[in-house]
Amino acid sequence: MKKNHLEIPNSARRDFMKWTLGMGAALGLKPWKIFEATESVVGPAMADQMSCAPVNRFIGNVMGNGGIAWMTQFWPHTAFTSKDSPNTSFYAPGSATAQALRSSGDAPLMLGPAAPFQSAGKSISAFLSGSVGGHTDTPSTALALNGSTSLFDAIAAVQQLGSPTLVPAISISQLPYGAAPGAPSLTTVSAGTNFSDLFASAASKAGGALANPANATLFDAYYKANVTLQAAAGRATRTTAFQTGRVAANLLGTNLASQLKPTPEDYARYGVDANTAGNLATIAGTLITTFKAFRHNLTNMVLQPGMQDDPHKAFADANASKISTQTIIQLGKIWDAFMGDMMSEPDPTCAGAKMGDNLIVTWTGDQPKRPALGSANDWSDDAPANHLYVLGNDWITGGWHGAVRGDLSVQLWDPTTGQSISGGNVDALAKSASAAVLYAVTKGDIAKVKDFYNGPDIGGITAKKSM
Amino acid sequence: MRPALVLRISTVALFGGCLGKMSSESSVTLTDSQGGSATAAAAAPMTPSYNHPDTTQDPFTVLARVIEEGPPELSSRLHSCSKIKISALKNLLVGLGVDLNATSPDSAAGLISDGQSTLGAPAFAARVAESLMLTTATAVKLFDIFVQASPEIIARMPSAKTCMNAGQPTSMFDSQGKCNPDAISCLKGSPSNGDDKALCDEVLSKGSNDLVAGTQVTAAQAMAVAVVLSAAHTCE
Repeated sequence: MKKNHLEIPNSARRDFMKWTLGMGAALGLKPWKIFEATESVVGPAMADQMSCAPVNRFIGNVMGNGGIAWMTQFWPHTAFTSKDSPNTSFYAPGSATAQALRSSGDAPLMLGPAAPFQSAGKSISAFLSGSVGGHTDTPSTALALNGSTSLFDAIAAVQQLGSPTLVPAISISQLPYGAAPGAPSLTTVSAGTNFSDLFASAASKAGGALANPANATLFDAYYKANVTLQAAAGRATRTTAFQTGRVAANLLGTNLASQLKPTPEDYARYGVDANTAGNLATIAGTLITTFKAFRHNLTNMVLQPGMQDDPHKAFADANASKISTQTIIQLGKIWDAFMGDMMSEPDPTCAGAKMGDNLIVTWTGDQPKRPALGSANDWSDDAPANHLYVLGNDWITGGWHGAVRGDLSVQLWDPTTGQSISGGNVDALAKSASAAVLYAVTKGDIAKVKDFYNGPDIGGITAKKSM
Repeated sequence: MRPALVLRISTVALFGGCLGKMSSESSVTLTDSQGGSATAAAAAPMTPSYNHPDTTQDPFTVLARVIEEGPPELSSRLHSCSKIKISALKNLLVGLGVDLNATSPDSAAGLISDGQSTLGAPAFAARVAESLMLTTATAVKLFDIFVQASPEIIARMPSAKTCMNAGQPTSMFDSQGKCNPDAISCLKGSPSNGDDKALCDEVLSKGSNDLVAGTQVTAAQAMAVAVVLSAAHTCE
């Protein structure tokens, strides 16, 4: 007997998927159960569409005030990695190893001994991208894409279309976020430690008015009913806010804080203890909650600040170098633990894949610092160009695109061929590098990238990946 | 062509221009020195290639609305929806009798104090003004504050000057335990109608009667107040 399925117009599909997944998460249903129910109601085609999201999740690390310099210890410039490199600011000269070349387009990149993701087999892409800036917690030169559209908001816009979540984009503190068409509002929290509070309310705690789930449902229903009584409820200018209010009314009775908050066991797994520096513990706490939020499909994007400690004196003397080495090793362990979590969990939005396979991560900042130490072993600010590091999950060609040579001159790169060029404009290249990241988030959908990017072809720095 | 049809087309054209609905495709005409011209697609269409929800409206409905409300530049100010400012939220709660000096982290005062960032407070050091946009997290926090403030509001409404009616105190619930329309008006800041009272009474009848911890107010009573406040103050 032919089974009848509901017909849902294209314009309503996003909302249907968003609410179905959101309700499923709120009810604590396993993803496969949601897909099964979807298949029975609206048919297998849409269930397939839901079963593997057409976009990747994203973490943007904005490591302002010199914080990005720490990442050069994982992925240094090749010319400064040998034991013979004069005054190198790389913490382990002579100990770096070459990243495996995974495709014909990959370029060489040296890995510091503490570089994360090696055990997970993940490749890193590095770009000379954008100009270095003054000390700021909100650096944006490496995030340029097109006019008022920057990388993060463009990513949020495509994620919102491809895989809607209850809270589309979360930022720990105010980080750069432009105005891409279709980008959802950025949800900000003051600190990583408050991240899980987004999904917790005092009202839903024991003894609260909404502690009883039936009351929470009632609040949700009668909030919506009250809103419709307002004469202005149908105005286009109010639609977005009331839509937000409806989602919030639904979330208010959902207390997921206990499921999202980092536990002592989590911190132990990430190598964090009472002696861990605050900026490292904050990154670990945010990543732990991020993993759990991804697992519950509550969000697709998390932006977090990083380090922000302007480490001029990191290698000033033997003691400082020892502490810095510990910092580098610990930071690598934190990222490895996070990837370990992500690779241990089946992806709730992509059947047959691990969560870590559908993730893109960037590290940007303002001052990557100079690869060679200055007088009094100062790790000075005058890096010749800004950096963008990407974990592109093979959607971007691996290795260094551009280089800082031993004499501190720079060699830039061509986005169309992927090859080194003489001359070039590092600010213009930031747009192409951002476009490559957007390409990775869209799982290789260049048409979506072109909605936001009108620069040169990026075929030389992107890769096709069979799914 | 029939006049009605002409009017309909003209109105659509008029509002299509005046109300600023942008086309997703654009072109530029290039003219050379001999007067020849060619049309080329404008560089870099920046509109995403997805289907927008169908927001087409009957032009006569739009026309009636413009006549009633004034031109878009005026009505957009009157009917736009921004988040309630933190200072306005505090004034509202204080006016309803809420103690903003309370120190419990789960009190309305505690939630406002701890939730500054989520509520969109300005970050002057980063030169960021107070956010006027209602994010989901902001709305969750706002509604949470209203729910937690409800028991205090119910208890103190009779002494709240904001809610006095001709000098007489107003109670949230009448002698039969039903919602008081005057109290609803006070919560909303606009006159109550029969519908909101009916909804309020329904919440009272359907909500549970267990007491909110540390108060003599039932969960149903707290929700009845919080629902009215949340819906009325989603937009400032």
